[in-house]
Amino acid sequence: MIVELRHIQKSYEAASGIPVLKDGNVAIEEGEFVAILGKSGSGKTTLLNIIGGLDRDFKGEAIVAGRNLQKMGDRALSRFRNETIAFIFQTFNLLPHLTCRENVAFPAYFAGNAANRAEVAQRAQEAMERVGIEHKAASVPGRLSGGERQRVAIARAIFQKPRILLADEPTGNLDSVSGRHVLDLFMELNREDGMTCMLVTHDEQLAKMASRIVRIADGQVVGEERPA
Amino acid sequence: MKASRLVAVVLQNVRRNRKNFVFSAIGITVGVCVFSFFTALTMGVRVEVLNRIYPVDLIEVEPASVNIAGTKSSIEKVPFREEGVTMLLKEPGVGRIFPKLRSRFQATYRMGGQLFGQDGITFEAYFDGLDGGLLRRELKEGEELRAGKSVKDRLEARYGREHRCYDAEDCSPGEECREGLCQKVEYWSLFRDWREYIPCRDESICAAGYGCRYEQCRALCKADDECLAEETCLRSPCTKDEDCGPGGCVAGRCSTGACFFPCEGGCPAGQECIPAVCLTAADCSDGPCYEGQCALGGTCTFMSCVQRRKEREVLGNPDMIRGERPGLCDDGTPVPEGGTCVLARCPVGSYCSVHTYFKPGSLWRDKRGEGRCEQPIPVVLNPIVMEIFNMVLGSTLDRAQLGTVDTLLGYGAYVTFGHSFYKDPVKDRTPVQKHMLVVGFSNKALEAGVTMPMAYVDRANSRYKGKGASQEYDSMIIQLAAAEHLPAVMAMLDRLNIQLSRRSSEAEKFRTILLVAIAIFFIMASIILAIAAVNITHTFLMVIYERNKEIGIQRALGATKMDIRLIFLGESVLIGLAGGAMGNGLAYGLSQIADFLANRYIGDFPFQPDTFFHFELLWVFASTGFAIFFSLVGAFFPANRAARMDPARTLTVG
Repeated sequence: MIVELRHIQKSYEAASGIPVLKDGNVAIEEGEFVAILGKSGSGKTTLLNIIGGLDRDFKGEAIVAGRNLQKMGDRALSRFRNETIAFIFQTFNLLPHLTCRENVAFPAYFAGNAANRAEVAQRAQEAMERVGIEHKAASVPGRLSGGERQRVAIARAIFQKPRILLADEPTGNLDSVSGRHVLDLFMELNREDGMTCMLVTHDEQLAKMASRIVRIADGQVVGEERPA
Repeated sequence: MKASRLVAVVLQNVRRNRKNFVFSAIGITVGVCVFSFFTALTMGVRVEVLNRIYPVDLIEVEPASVNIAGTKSSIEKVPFREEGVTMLLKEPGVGRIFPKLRSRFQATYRMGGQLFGQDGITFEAYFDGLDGGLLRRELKEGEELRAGKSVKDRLEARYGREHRCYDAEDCSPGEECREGLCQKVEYWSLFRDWREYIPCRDESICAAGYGCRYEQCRALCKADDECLAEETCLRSPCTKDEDCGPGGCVAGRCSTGACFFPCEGGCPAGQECIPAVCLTAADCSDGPCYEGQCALGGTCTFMSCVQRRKEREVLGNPDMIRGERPGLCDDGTPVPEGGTCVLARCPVGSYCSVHTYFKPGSLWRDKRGEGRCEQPIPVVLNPIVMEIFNMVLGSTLDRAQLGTVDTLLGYGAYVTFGHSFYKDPVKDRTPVQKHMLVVGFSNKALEAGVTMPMAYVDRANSRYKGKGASQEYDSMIIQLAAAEHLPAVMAMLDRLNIQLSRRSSEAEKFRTILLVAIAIFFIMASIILAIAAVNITHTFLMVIYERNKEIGIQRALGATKMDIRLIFLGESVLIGLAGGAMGNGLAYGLSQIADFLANRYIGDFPFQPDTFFHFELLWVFASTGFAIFFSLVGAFFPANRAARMDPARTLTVG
């Protein structure tokens, strides 16, 4: 198991104690492509943040890539995020003041390894070529279309060659053609690189592209299915 | 996060937030500018003005005393004599010691028209004495430093060829004939005791170590090595102890003799032996007449101003007579009745001293109207004198400025011992006029007077106040081995009960005032920088609000809390650096403007410096460090806040 969540409970104080996740139990094998399907506010993004080590304030046990996230300190957890996890967001979350190449290589700033500049540039180039955005390397994100931006975000995500890719509504801001391309990329990464992909979506059609669908409602896993 | 990567991220952030960056740096710039400007001004006043008036490495000390029932008693633990000097020299931090002896009687100066107009002016004289040997080295260094290169080099540059001479008359003014060549007078070398001629009737008038021999105070000796290089120790013949002074008669000679210049080896330049044949004592230049011979026949004990043969011939040739006036001798006195001017020209550099000390009726001249060739008393001036003349007297007397101190080198003046505008002459001590020659400048010299070799002061004190008038040094100037030893030496003086002179105490007070001024400016700058730090806090909080999503992204990509903290603190360090650099640059620019305005609109005044500001690299670094510190303080709270932000929330909600 690369992801194993047991009895995860999470509530935001601001919501006066109303739980977002009541009893989250999820287990994912390495190399799986899993879609987390649920309505808005069902707790699927929270689940993703917990798996990605961004949210540590929860009850239960989260073991990801063999590490118990709650027992990790800030430094170890940050390194874990840098090396093992990749995030893809609906709003791309690129840094507007940097070029695409700089955005892609940005994780290198926080990497523990001492890669030199040429090596970083080489890896950034490879990542951009992988998602087919290398021709926009010198552009700033503001000059790109939504699909291109998401591809830059994917290139950034795979820059450190992570084991788990967490995508939160990655096509939410894209037209159908671009969204399709992005999904194709995910599938390719899953298939060819053996990267474990978790796709959070509320779109039934999109979820069906995954090898497994985990349904979540009101903070609880309510069912699992494997699309035909 | 590696330092190089941190710097890269910080620079990226600064580049895109230029406006915030500049806005934050303005306050720091103003604070640093205030600090730097006023510190430079205070330091400038200290270094450029105060240290010139009160050199930082010189402390003058006096014997501490208590006033018990109106009587002053010394309570110092170190005697102000030679043994005390030796004791103090062993103390750490003490470089050299210059003992000082003050004049204890009245005197006046007369300075000629060269400075003050045609008649010159006469004013009350104050003078003191320093050890010639100790001061000569400093004078030499000063003279060569001002010349920019060695005196010899300068001379060669000027003439470019050998300028042969017989004596100084063949040379230009300011030059002397040395080794057959005209060379620039090395004024510093003149600062020594030339043993001037002092007539006496008894021992009481002579200084310690001198005895009255043949109506002249002469250095006492037991052997030749106690006399000057050219002199011999002449011990009088005797038959019994009563013929001699202390020590008595030993093997037909008095055990204590006096130093005389013998004729056998030739007389000093420009002089010759007086014929020794005599009938009465009056025929003798010196001493009684004994069996047709002067008692000291064959010795030039009096060194009368008798021209050398060659010079007589020169004078005899009307074509070659220079500067004489009919009916007057060389020194301006009338030709004696039926006689010739025996007061002939003394060797260049010396003068004919015609004044006696104890015959009021003879109008300060001795019975023969003859004088004695004497070297002028070499004196050293404090540069302050020059400054005051240039800035005050020069303009009020409508005289041109003297320019550099070198202008006054070789300048002659007169001192009249025993004369005063305020007091009657000392009984039985007729005032006597002596020539003086300015041979150098030193900040150890008296500020309102002149400083001469100590032997002159010692002798003059004895002459007017009696033997033993100067038992102890009046003060000692301690030259520190280096300025930083000041606190240690001050503590040592305190321990040994030695008190500072009025002048050194004043210097201490001024330095304290300046330190207080620096402290006040430091506090002012700190307040401004503290306000700037609050401004940085506000700006950074705003920036964090703007960048919260970015912080979330950075955290998602692997940034630790410390990374986030360091990024913001790094930006604040840059603000501090930039503010420090701009503040110091601004302060320097303002100092240039201030100097320009001061030069243009404020008139000349004594000790006016070229610049009122003294920037030191240390202070520039210190102020920049200070700026960085306040920037860090300002950014600390926002940076922590940024580090503690919940990345999940910023990415979801933000």
